[in-house]
Amino acid sequence: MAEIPAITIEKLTKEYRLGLRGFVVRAVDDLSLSVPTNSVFGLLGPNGSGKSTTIKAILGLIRPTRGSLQIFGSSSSSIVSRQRVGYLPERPDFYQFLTGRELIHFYGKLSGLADVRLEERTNEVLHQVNLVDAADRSLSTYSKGMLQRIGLAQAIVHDPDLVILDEPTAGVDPLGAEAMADIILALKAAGKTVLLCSHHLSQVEQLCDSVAILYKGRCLVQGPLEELLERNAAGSIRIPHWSPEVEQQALEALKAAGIPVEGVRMDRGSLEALFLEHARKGGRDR
Amino acid sequence: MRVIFSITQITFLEVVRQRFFNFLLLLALVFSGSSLFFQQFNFGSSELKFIYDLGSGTVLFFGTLLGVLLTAQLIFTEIENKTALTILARPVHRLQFLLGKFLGIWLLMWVFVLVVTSLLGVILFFRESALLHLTPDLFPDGRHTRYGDLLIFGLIQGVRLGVISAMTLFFTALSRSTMYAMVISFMGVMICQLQYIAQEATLAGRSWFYSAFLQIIQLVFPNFSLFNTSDLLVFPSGDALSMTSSWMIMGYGVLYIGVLLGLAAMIFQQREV
Ligand SMILES: Nc1ncnc2c1ncn2[C@@H]1O[C@H](COP(=O)(O)OP(=O)(O)O)[C@@H](O)[C@H]1O
Ligand SMILES: [Mg+2]
Repeated sequence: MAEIPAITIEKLTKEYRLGLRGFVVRAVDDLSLSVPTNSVFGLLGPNGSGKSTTIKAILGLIRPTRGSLQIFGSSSSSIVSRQRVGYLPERPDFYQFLTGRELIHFYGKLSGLADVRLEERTNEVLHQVNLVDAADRSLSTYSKGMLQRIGLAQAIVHDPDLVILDEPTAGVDPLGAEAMADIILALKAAGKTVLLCSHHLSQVEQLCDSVAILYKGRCLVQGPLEELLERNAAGSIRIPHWSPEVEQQALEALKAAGIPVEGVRMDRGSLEALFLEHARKGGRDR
Repeated sequence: MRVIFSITQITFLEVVRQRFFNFLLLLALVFSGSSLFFQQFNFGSSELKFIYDLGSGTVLFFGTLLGVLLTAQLIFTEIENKTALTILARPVHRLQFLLGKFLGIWLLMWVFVLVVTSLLGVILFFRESALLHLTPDLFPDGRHTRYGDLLIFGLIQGVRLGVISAMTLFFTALSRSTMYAMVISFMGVMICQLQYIAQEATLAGRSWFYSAFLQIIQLVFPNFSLFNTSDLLVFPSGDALSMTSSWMIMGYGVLYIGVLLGLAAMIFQQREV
């Protein structure tokens, strides 16, 4: 028997009606996809391509114009479908005057955690997102990256089987993005399913098992990342300690072996890689 | 229930930390200050009535302001900062969300009424003691003030502020912006406050159409003049407000709160957040 997918979307269309004259924006157009359990699924595409709209429809926060949506087999319009889901919205702000710990407590209670278990889970997730030190500070003192991480913590406090993250790394520095990636991989290792949405294609490339790329509400391609990228794969060889002589030798060796070369590119390394290297030496942020 | 109370608690906490009590303290200071200021004119026992009017006016006016502004602002902040999304993306009914919010706001209203009314009681008590001492011939039968009535006054005003919040919640569920919600709600409160005019006009009996219109207004909007009982309490000029009438007024208010919240929930159910 085939396993029930974490998310099933069938022919979803969502139209927003603007103003009284009924000008219609079609945010999502005939989208069908299915997210298998225990995988990281990337919903990708530029701004305004309908990613957030799709996510809100999955969570029953907006009603689809047409089509049907299910979470673990139960319809998105029912409350039960939301029992095993955690959600981090795009650019969350949360309550300014609560502390991180109070916020996580609150969301844990909403999802039915109580007493010892609530206490335990709160500490666990605060630890997981590396906010133990800041847990008793007011959220108004949090940086952008910290807010995003506390947002992730509230999404996973009740140990959901499906975690939906809308642009988790938007406005977050490279270190923060890396921390976020680590947590996502840990979730997958723990058997969870993650739906990740981002306009930053390269950032999530290493994370996703499968992707769907949206553009203007339509799905351009979808499938396992391996398969999609294999179609136009090209290899590259990195050579340290570059010099023109080394280049000459390398090209000749390749030529002798009968391997065609498309081009040679000098790679200065990226600023981001440089920063990450130094930051790792310099210890974690606060 | 647990869900509702968690939302109530967090709403209350958030507003309290937003320096709600600073506002309250300021208001209390202004109120005590002004009653002390008027003391120097020394108009005898009518001074007590004056202090009472000042205090009850504070509850009426600032309570209304607070009820509308706080309710509209809280709901819209919640939608704008995505908190509403994260709450409703959990197994939480929209009715639970609204009820939780409402109870949190109502609790704040009760705190407000409690603080101002207690302060009013304390000021009245001390001033009356002083006047008793200074001009005993004005108080042949001892103290004038019916302090127990302050409790009834507070209860009725608390319920009234609940109706205002519930009404604002209803208009907020309909609106797209904070400003719009506030303006519409203030207009709503105004209509409720001026109901007695509609009532008199119906009695005066103009055209058939006109009086039908007025009757509908009277049915749909709660009649706030019923809550304006302060003249019948503490220093009643004639018969004091009876216990039965007090309970009926409160029941009337609670009924409207129920209806308004139900309507708000129905609208909010349809709404896309
Ligand atoms: N509440 C709304 N009302 C009207 N149009 C909307 C609304 N939300 C989104 N849209 C429109 O739908 C399209 C898709 O938006 P969105 O799903 O937020 O894209 P993404 O998350 O991929 O950036 C955009 O053109 C946007 O303007
Ligand atoms: Mg988006």
